[in-house]
Amino acid sequence: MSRRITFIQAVREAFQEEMRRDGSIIILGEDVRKGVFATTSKLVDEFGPERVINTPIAESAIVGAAIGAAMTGLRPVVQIMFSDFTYMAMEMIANQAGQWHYISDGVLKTPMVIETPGGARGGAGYGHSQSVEATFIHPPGLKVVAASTPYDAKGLLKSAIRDDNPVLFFEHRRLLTQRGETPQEEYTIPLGRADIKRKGTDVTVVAYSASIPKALIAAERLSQQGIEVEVVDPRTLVPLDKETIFASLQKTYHLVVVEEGRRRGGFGAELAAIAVEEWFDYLDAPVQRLGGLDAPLPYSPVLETACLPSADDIVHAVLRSLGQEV
Amino acid sequence: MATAVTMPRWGMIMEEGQIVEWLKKEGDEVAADEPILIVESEKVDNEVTAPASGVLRAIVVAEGESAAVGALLAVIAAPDEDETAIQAILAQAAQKSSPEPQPAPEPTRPSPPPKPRRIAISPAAKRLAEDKGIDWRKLEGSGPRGRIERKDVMRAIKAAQSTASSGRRVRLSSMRKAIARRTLQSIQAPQAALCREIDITPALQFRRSLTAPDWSADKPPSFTAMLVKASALALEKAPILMARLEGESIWLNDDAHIGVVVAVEDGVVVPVVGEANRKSLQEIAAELDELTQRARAGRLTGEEMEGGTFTISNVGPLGIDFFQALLYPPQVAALGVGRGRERPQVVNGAVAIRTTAYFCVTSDHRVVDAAPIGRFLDRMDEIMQNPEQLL
Repeated sequence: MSRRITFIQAVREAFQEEMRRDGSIIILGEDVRKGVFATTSKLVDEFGPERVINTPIAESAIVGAAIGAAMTGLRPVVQIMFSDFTYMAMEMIANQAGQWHYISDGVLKTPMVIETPGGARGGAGYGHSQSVEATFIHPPGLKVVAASTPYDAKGLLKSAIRDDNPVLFFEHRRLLTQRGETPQEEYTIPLGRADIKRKGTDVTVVAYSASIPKALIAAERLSQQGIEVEVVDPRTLVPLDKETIFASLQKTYHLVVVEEGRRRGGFGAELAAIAVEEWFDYLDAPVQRLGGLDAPLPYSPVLETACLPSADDIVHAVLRSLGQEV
Repeated sequence: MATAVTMPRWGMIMEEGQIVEWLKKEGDEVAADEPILIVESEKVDNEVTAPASGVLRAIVVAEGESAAVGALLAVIAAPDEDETAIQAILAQAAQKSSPEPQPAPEPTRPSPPPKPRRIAISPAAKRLAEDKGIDWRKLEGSGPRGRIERKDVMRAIKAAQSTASSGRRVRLSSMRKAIARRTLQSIQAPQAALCREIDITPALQFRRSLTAPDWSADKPPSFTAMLVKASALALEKAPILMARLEGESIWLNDDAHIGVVVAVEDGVVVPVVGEANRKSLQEIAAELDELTQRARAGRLTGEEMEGGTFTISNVGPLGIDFFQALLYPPQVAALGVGRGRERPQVVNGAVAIRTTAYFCVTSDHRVVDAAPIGRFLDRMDEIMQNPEQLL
């Protein structure tokens, strides 16, 4: 049986189900007992203060504590209140969490999840709005998840918690209150498997997180012009499901990549490079990359919107890819 | 010591050759000057002989493949020669073959062809075109800045399917490639063709009547041989037809070296009867006969097809009335002769049935105007009416 629940509920259900299943799972972060974005609200009532731990405002210390806990047998979930703040813990995440399995010659492992809401919504300004996923596809040993629907969020979070590697689990704040069909029954979604959100034949649009709804709006508009866009959601940026993207490209020969993070050095840059290296013979046009401007995000909601790719931008990128617009 | 076998240059126009057949295989013993392979160049097939005695240690270019003049084809060495000596030659050739030093251009050569234009094509379109055998260099691109995209190739595939529903693809032979290049080069000259109908009845009668003591050969001369001799005589009245244009000046030849177009399997070749103005009809007839036979066997040498100053193409045997011959650069004039046919003619105020043929002179108008062609055709007419002048 399925019902329509919010992204927040889906995430909270994942926590509940996993924490009931496995007593070694703990949650720690700033104000997690109350839950700033409600994904962890009331968990303390069921699982107690020893497993749902409020911490000081010190991201590096929180992640560091989680790494230590993971190494010594727990499966911690760290909540970083805004994904911008992951930069505060960059040393712990990039240099420690992902590398200790290697450094210890496999003796230690760091099974942990960093759950972090982020992305631009309503003009929260430069330090509370960024989409920083691409930053974490670069260091070794990390997995990066960025779900776009409640269904995906729940299934992927459960897999992330069960994974023996550190996993960054990004939630876009614009998606948190969105509802979606989610089954009552337990399910998981493996990391590293893309999902085709809309089938099409003319252009492959790869998007993730909050760019998926925009891509679907663009696809609907283009369909009225007779252009059928295939929207592919990789769901996890690391590991990346190249097979599914390639299969789509073999059908469409046109690739557009959309992300809200800054375009420069972003996920689109990585995917475009893969396309040129591995799928050269299947490109009928240059890859079109859409992403945020190379600028700090402004407080003004109007200017914030202007800094991010819109559904309209995706329509134009698709038309450019098809040579119907310059 | 190891010796390299390289692609020979047969005549100045030869640029590359195709290996028709290896007469020896790797490991065979070969003697110096023994034929070891057959090469087809643009217009000649010929044997290549071993430059040294020994064992054919390595074959570099396989049958059916082409190689540039001077390129390494094989290595001959003593049976006990160290492998490193052979490898050294192979390595040297491999190094040289990429940017091959071009021989210094001849001063009279026309300017080199323009660099091919850069064509934008998407990788996917290129792959599709190559898979389907479509020459994408000829396609118009509809993408941004003229880029060729898959849809352009698809259109070409469709067009190719509709025009050639069934058929087969044949690779161009070296000869066909040479003809394609030279005819294209030819039409770059501004050409004019001037024609005259000439009564050849007396010439044909004369040909049949040739007997001893005037004629010692066992068969009469071919009409083409008579045309060669007649042209050599007529060119004396219009020597400009034997000129060649060289930049800002005109080179005037003293002698008539007359090329004769000979149809062979899959093309034509043009052997040259040198100094036709100094040869008798009998000499010309015998020489032309011999050249024609060897041309049909693909055994002419490059030299035998060079140095012509005027070219004749007799298409009468093909049942053609008019032929505007193409120039054979750097020559400035060519004669095309159609078939002799009985046609009504006015002779002394009355209609008579005579055998006539159309003589057309194509000229490079940069050098030759109508007047000398008129003089040439006047003289040809005169000789055709008085063919004993050919002796």
